[in-house]
Amino acid sequence: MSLDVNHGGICGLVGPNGSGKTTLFNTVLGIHKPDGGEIYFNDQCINNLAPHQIYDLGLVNAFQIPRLFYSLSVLDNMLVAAREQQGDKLFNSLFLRSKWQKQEEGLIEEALNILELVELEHLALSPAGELSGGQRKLLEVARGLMAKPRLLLLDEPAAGINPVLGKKIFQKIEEFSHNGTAFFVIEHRLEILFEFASWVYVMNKGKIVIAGQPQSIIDDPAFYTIYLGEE
Amino acid sequence: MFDWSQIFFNSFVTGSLYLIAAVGLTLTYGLSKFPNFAHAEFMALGAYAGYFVSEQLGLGLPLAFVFAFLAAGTIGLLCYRGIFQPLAKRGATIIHLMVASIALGFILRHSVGAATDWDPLYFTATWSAFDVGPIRVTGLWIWLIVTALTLSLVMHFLMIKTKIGKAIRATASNPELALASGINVDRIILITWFIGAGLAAIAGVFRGADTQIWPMTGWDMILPVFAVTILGGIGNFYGAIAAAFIIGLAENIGVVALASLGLSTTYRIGIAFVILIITLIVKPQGLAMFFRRA
Amino acid sequence: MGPLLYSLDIIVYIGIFGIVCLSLNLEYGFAGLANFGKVAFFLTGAYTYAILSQLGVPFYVCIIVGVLISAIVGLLVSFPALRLRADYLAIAVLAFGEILRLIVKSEDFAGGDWGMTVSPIFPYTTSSLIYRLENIGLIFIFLAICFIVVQLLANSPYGRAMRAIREDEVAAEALGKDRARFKAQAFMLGSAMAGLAGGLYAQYLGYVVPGMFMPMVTFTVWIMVLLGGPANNWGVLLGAALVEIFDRGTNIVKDYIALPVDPSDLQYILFGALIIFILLYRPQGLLKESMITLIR
Repeated sequence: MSLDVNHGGICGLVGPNGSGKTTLFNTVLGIHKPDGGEIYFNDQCINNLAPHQIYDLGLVNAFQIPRLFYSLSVLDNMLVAAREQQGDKLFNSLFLRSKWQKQEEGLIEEALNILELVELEHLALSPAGELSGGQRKLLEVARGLMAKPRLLLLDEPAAGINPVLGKKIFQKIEEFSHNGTAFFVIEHRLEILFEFASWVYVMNKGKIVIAGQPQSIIDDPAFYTIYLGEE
Repeated sequence: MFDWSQIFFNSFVTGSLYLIAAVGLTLTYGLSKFPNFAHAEFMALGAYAGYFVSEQLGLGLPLAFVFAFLAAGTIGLLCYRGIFQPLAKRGATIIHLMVASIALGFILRHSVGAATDWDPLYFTATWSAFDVGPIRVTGLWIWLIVTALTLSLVMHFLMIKTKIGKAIRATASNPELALASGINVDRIILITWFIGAGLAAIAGVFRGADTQIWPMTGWDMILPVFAVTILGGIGNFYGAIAAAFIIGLAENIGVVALASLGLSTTYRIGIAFVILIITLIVKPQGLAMFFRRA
Repeated sequence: MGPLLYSLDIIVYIGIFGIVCLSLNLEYGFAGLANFGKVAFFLTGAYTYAILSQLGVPFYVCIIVGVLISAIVGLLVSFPALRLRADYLAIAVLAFGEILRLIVKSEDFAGGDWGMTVSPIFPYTTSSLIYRLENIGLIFIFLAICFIVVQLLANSPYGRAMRAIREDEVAAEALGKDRARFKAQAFMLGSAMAGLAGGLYAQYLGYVVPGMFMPMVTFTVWIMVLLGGPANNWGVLLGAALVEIFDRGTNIVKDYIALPVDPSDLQYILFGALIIFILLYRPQGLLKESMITLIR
């Protein structure tokens, strides 16, 4: 399959349970080994790349069940995600500390800004382990944003979050999506997704079956058969 | 020329001892998911318990085995209940549990050492050595091999045919599913630890009867026993049986090879270590792939 | 040995083991690597120093080469070992340490069972007091250097990345951290430090024998780190001091109080109980993990 997720705005991925949405994400990320074929991201084959190399290409993922660094602070969780940190190198961290200290200041400011968007900035210095379930999901998404990806894969970012906050997350993502980052979002809550997405792919039984703008999908009878016809 | 028949027989002897010691370890390691270094002390305590019955009470060796099994089994069970289970409940990692088992080993080993002043003890039963064809054997070794083979058959029967055995296998592979299907997982774990420690004790008595009983009886053997456990595949007792004899063979051939190469035979024990490291690097699941999960 | 000399001796040991504890803190506390073969690299440093010093090599070369060889061995071990699960890694390096000990026990170039003598850096001919003071000075300078190094690493983006890998290596790698690189570097540095400590130890005692490098050394260091607090550099130094003092303390006490149990046995029993107690009730150790202190 070939997916173009860069339509400006959020690109959604929907489909009934078991249609293969998360599997698709996991295969792209290298967590799942494909049975055959190759995976390309922006014309670059990423099949055999290590996860950190995939990150370097700009493909970042926010896990469905948050994988935070629980004994690190919220702010540190964000900072881990930042790109091209001079301080990541052994030599620099021992001998050239000034080289990255300036960068750190900038990154901290960026991180706090994003945390403010998801209303977590007041918890910046708390250990991530102290966050509630909803807050953890927000941090997971925020961390993904911090990574300044070219494409961010979000697997059910609003799951388990109250609808008001969920809507807010999607609002923020939608705003971000106009700044050069493409978002590919799996979401079960069709009402929220369709409100904010500008393009949707529908999967069924491992294949993409419908693609288009949300309105045209809603108007497509085949869409309903897919959902209701499945048991 | 090398006395191959003797080498093979010796391999059987070494392998049998490792088998009895390793089966218990592979069961508890596979079930509770951490390497229990105190298994060494279960062996040593078994030897001491056996000594108590056979020498101090004068009741002879066979009863010594029985008592050692029961005593060590009980201690193993108490150790699990009193230390490992509470730790696991508090979210201890594999490493924490491993460290706890090492610490437990300190306590047990040095308690015994303090109580016995670190004097080695000996079983008084003597075993005459005789020749079966070209091979030199002792009665004890014959008993050891017979015990190991019997144990293998018993364990096979237990694991495959009985309800308890199936429950143990189920719990080891998927504890949540086992619980959901009505298995009393807690009881199964306790039984496994009891049997595991008990079997270690039997190995300890044999070891003590063959050489001597002293607080380091178990610790001297523990790394090769881990080698057997890992080569055989953790939790896989069929694998452990095969691995025990493979390593027994490797050690005995190795000793001969070392001597003929002019190297020190101190390296003998290193043979198991090398096998252990190679297994972990090349194929950490060990021989498990050859044997049906059990 | 009078009490003053004895106390100074304890301080020397605290210094040496402090360095080893810092190395384990780097590997386990910050990078999450369960190095149960610590003594292997301690041994490597000690024996390298011994062999070179017997060849008449100047002491600073002995130290440097000892550190380098330990680092290289650490790096080589890290290639196959670091992708192993925590318990497999622990057992594998434990076995590796034992193999090294068997080698130095059996081979003549390492002195076999009888070990080797080592030329000390400071001559014995001065008084025992001065000898100890000089060594304390030297060792604590190195301890300070190691402390600063590990502290700088821990409190930097590098340390942050390392801790992230420790917490969840899948997530860390998905966020761009090359876990193989970080782990290998931590292991290499840790091994280098352990080798340094080994060299200092060898020259202080004036000899090395295989019996000095039993797995018990590794376990002692682990007790020090777990007691003091993993991922806290001050903590592990505190742990080193407490364990060492307790160790020596029980040996002294036996001269003054008749204990029902031999003090060294009692010591092990108490250590064992202490570790289990810590793991049950205070697994983070005496001093909790140090927060990454960066500019705020």
